[in-house]
Amino acid sequence: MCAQSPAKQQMSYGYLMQEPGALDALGPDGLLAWAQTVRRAYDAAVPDPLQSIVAPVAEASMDSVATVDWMALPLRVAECLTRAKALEACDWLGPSGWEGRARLQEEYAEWRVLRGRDGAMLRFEMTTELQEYWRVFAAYDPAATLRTVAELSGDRQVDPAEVYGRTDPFASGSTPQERDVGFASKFLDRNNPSRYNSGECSLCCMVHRSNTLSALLELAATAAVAVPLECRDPSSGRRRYLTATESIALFSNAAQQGRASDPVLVERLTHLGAERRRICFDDPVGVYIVGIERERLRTPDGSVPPQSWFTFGRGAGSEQSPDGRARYQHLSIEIPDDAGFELGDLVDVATDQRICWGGQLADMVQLAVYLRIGPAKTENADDKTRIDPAVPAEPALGCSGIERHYNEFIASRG
Amino acid sequence: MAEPGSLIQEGIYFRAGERAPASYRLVVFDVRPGANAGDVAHALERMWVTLAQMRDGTVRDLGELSQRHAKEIKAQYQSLRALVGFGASAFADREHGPPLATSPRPDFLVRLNRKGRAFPALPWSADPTSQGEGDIAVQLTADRADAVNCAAVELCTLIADDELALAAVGSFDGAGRQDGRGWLGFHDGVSNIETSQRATAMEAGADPPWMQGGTYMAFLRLAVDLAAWRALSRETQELLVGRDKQTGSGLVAVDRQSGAPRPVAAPDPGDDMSDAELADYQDPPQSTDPLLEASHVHRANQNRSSPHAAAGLRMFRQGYDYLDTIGPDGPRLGLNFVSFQSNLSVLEHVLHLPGWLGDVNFGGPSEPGDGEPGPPSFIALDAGGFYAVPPRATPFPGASLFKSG
Repeated sequence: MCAQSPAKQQMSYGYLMQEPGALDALGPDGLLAWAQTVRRAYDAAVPDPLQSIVAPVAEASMDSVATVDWMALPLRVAECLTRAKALEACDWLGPSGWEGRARLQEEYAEWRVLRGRDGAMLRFEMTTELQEYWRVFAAYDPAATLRTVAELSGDRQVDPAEVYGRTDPFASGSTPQERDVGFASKFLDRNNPSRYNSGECSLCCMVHRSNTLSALLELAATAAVAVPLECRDPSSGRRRYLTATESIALFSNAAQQGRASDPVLVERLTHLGAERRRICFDDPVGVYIVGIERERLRTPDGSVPPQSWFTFGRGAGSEQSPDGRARYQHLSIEIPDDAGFELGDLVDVATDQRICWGGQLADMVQLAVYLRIGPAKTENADDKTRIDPAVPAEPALGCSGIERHYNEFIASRG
Repeated sequence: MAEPGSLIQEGIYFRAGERAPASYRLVVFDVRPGANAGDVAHALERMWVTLAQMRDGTVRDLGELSQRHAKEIKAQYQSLRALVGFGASAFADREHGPPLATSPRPDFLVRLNRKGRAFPALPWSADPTSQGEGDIAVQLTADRADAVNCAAVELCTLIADDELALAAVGSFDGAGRQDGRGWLGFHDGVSNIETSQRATAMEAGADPPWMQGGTYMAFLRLAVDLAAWRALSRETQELLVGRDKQTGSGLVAVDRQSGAPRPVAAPDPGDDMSDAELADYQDPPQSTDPLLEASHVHRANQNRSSPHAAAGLRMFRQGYDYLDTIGPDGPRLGLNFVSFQSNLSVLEHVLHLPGWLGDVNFGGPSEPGDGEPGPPSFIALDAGGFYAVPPRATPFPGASLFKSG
């Protein structure tokens, strides 16, 4: 996956980063801008690379890959509200069309649900595309951007104003910076977003403030702080790594307790770093949809839905990837018209419940980040600082904020 | 706030210094047709009192005994521990009218799927029993087989004598091994979470409220085709398991110089392991070889995280081997896989996710390369059931579910 074409290797910037999902949409200028975007995000999160376990680019020794995976259902939201309430609230549309998504879908994946007039679920879509990438894409290739939006929405043509707001992306003299501003003002507007990203027509990139490239890299910085530390286990007395609860409580505002994503990423990075491995995010960096627990689902006649009802896209599949790893960023699930039933008629055998909410399907979607790692080193293995983390027994989930969102959701229903 | 794990019922040996005793029996009961919640509560209370009395040296039929004989009884049952769990059917309207339990069924408390495979890579055995699923399950553990067996029989005679509203539907025995190994010949239960973190892995939250501080039990009686396993070479077995068969040390590399992959294990750390050696022995660190990453120990703990990272899908295991019979076709045996987790979704994910245990029966690469061992299929499900194990309570755990009237 790190092999580069000779042309790209000659790029003067010296920091290469493929498009997420191994997409091939950007031209040379866009690729350079994307590399710069990633590098800026890295530099902001890791001010001193020499002191960090996370390198900006793969080094020669990083010839192996570690996978960190989690499920897409927002666990903290379910823990704070109960699963039933979380499922309902995550599908909240509200006036913007994406209230549940922008407020609660915080595991580096966001979804939308299309329903029939009776409220039954007809279609489910999920994206893990980074908004930072889409900003570069929109800035450097507006024509391709509009075509991609059209493809994702099923519309034949997309009005540029729906994507770029008041900025005419094709105006003579229009600059990437201007297009970026226009795109961000319309596509990512929190209160009046484009219907092509709000979920009304389509779902293109993530919008939750935690689901960004910057947030992902800041998590890595959190883990880096915990690497040289160890503590005495209060029960066994043995030396061990800090747990995610301990690390996050002591050191970071960048990671959130109770999620599916943040704690497992922090712990994995900490352990790998404590083995004195050099680490970087695999190129291309991204959060990927690697699969779905399809065999948990049953149609009304008791059979497992066929693979053809699940469409993975916006990235390379395992067959297309040189390393055999899936790097999808989009998933849609829809039942063919002639099936005689709808998506909402499927049953999850793990809960014996019909599929009513997008979160039920999100709970079956496996997400992954790939880390490129070097060999473990044993010298100076005992060179660690021992601390006694006085952390609370229960992790701070920040439920008050979640509950506030839920109360607004309830109030919005009248 | 209660100390973590303090409300978990007895019979789960997760605390420092505790080790699961040698004998196990699970008894499954159904509520008799027509019984109401009050009948169930009365039956469970009587059972709970009876079990406590046995530990104190009192058996119903024998009445008041001399000090000497009471001491004998107490010696037999002093290690006996019981826990009670409730199956999906206890919450089902369609099976009990009116409903027995006052609360809806927890989301992931379901009956195992019997149309096709229970789980994608775990088929039902040729002749599975449905006796692992019932309204109520009582797990009995003790140092001695006579303790669990007599306790199980005592519960049945109690039900008959007092005409209680329950009927036994099945029972499953098991035995722990002193050598810490399983039927496959390998160490079993090594990767079983740091002691201080076990409660976090097991303890249920407040959804539903009556389960807060309790746990969920998965019981899977796994039949092992020992002949198929023993047909594999030791090296293949080690690659599939991810450990050295003799020492239990985790594999650290694969030697491919001679063509066929050969396992390379970490040195035997011996009896006096450092903290780091023990940590690596229990949870083998990240491997860079895809063949090792596909082994059972790595598949079962993909993210190598503590229970404080929920996506690590950690569960506390307390399994027991069983030997059903020995006949002309050889021994019929297997493992009572018993796990305790904060939510049954954990086990569902582990058994459904590719890369975990959703795409292979036990271990190995789902798409082996040249010379690599393919994933064998030698484990099948004979019986199983999921149970909600409520927190400790008076007069019995889960009493609040069966308020009469």
